[in-house]
Amino acid sequence: VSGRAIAELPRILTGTHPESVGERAVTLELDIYSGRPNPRWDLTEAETAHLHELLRNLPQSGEAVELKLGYRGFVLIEGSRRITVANGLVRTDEHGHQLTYLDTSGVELYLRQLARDRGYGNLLEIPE
Amino acid sequence: MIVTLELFSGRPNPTWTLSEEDQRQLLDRVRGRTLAPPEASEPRLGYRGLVVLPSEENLAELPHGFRIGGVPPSGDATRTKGGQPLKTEEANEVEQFLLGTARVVVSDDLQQLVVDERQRQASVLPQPPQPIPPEPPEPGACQIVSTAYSPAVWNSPPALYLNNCYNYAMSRMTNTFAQPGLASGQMYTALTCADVGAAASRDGCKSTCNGPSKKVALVIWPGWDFHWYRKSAEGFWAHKPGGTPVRNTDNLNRVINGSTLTPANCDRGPYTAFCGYRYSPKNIVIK
Repeated sequence: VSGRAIAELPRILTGTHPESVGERAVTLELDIYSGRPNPRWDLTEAETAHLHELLRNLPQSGEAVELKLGYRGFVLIEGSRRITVANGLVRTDEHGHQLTYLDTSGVELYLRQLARDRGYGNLLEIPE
Repeated sequence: MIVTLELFSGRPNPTWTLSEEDQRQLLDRVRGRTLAPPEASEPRLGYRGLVVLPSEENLAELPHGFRIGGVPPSGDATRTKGGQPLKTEEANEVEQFLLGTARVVVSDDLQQLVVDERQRQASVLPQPPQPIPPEPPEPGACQIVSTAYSPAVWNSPPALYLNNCYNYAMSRMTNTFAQPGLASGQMYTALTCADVGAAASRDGCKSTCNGPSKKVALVIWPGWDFHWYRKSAEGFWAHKPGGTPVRNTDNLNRVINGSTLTPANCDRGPYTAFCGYRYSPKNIVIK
């Protein structure tokens, strides 16, 4: 795993940078629907800060994020920047340039907890 | 047997009677075969073949007259009933034989004229079968007009994130994450086959094919969501799960090939209700 790849991830989600917290809201989207708009809401500053810690120093991965019908994970959105968190992987996507990392720090578990807190627990219990 | 050489338009055609030996040879060649009736000739000028009419002695074996050579219209309906029709080379041989019997009444010049005419006709016949252009469909007739699978245009941001399964199935990139019924003023109110199907119908997506249409399929995650598929020109089905890329595979990553795997039986995850196929016309409006 290259040091460059590890260091790149937090910069993608600039809202999670300690110095820039509060400058721009980070939106969390539960990626589960196909026709209806997905549930999405803005994260608090504290949630964003914690997320920043979880996203730090993830190892890069060559695996592809699987996108299918039903629960696909989460998308963190800040402006045109997006981070997909699904199936044990974290994928950054900026201007068509994608990098994928292994979710070794429990990012998806944390986002699932945020979704439950938001009242979407029943959606997460749907069998695939 | 009386043979008539059909050649002239104004003058009487040459006619002669076959000798007993010639009759026997002719019967040996045509007995039990399906033969063109005498009237089966194209209304054309010049050589039109030979017509043979049986004499009383031949009525038992050859109850009707028949035609050899010329250009009989195609189609079995004009032929007399019997066994196998003469093959081309057999018919040519019978024709040559009968023309040979004409020497008793037909001059050498006229014989040569017939030979030349046969060669000329043979050079233009048989015509290769001409492709029949498809008739334009009647107004209102069903016509499936699938387009080629081209996911790239849908899979590039921001269109990727702003168009959903309904956009893709209806081939309308509105960048609004389109909802059935919204364009026609009344969106669906329940996530059921009936309600989403009715909303799509109000937008113009029909349950029966009528005019030029794309074939689409509606499925429902009962109570939670809807999803659409569209058939591609290649024969397989493609779909766009929400804001994710267009794909032609199901949840088990199998190509929805349109034969063994269709929207009706592929793995659709929680979208367990298959609502049937529908038809999206060219003029559909969604929002």
